[in-house]
Amino acid sequence: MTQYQLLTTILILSLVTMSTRFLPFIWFKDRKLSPWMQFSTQRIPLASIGMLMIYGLKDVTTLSVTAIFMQLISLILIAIVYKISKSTLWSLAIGVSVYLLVMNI
Amino acid sequence: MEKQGLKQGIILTLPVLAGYLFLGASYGMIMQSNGHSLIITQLSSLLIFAGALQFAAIPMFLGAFHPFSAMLLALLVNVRHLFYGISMIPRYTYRHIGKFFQIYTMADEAFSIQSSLPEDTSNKTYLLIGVLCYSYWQIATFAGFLIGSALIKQIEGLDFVLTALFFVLFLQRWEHKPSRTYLSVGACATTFSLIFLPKSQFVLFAMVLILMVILLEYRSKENRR
Repeated sequence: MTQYQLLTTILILSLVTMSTRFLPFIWFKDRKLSPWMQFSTQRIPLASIGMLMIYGLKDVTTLSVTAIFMQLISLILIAIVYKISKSTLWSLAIGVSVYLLVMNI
Repeated sequence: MEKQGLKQGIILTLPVLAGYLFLGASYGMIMQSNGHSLIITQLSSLLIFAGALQFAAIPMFLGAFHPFSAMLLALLVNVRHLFYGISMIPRYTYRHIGKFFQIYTMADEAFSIQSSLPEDTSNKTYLLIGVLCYSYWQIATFAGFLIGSALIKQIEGLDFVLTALFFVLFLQRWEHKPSRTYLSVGACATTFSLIFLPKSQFVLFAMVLILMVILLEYRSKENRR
């Protein structure tokens, strides 16, 4: 690829990415939502969080057995700490520190 | 007041800072070692700002020029943003340039944090979270290109912080019982797709599955009326 083609590729990636972000806002601008759209837009945010949670785990199979096991332990730990403290920051800090400590010793 | 807002924004995005420093620096380093210039590397982070796509496009940057495959790749990797956009329509109520940047910086991490905040959160806070995440990514790319990510790479598994972030934000929603049904629908549909479909297409298929479940529920509610 020449520098010019490389730049064009980056621009294409940028424009397509932007369109995936902007499209819903443009499409629904000043538009009255149909009952079906109202119904689905109430449910999509929650489903997206469920989707994103699994999306974050998509590369887990490429890890070593130790790493997979430790991620599992850390996620359980995060769930326990969250259940007790109700603090996202604390549960993250404790869960991630334990994972990093074990993986780097 | 302003200062407090900034402080709150930084605290909210701390896990993203850690995750982005690691991933962004890795990206900068890989681009540098592939012989790309700093301008091209930084431009790609500035213009694309989508980690998963930027990594997926690395081999493409080295190959022949294929504009159509580039389009298809970006679409497949980022189609999930459509769901985020639909979710954030009632929340992003800024106008003009403020709204532009809210949408422009709407990546997985910004979306997951923003959508976990109460409905009456100010637009300033949404924008701040987006802009902070964007800045972290830029700084990390730059640092990775210049000093190499060798230093950060020594900490094994730092990218787990983003996996953990998505997980804990999921748990936070799970506390609210009526939310559980669709949190599960999203998680199950995605797990199913991840197991049975190639990694390049599973998100799109998961989204179709989710829409189908919503449609089924909608139909059954309509029939009962």
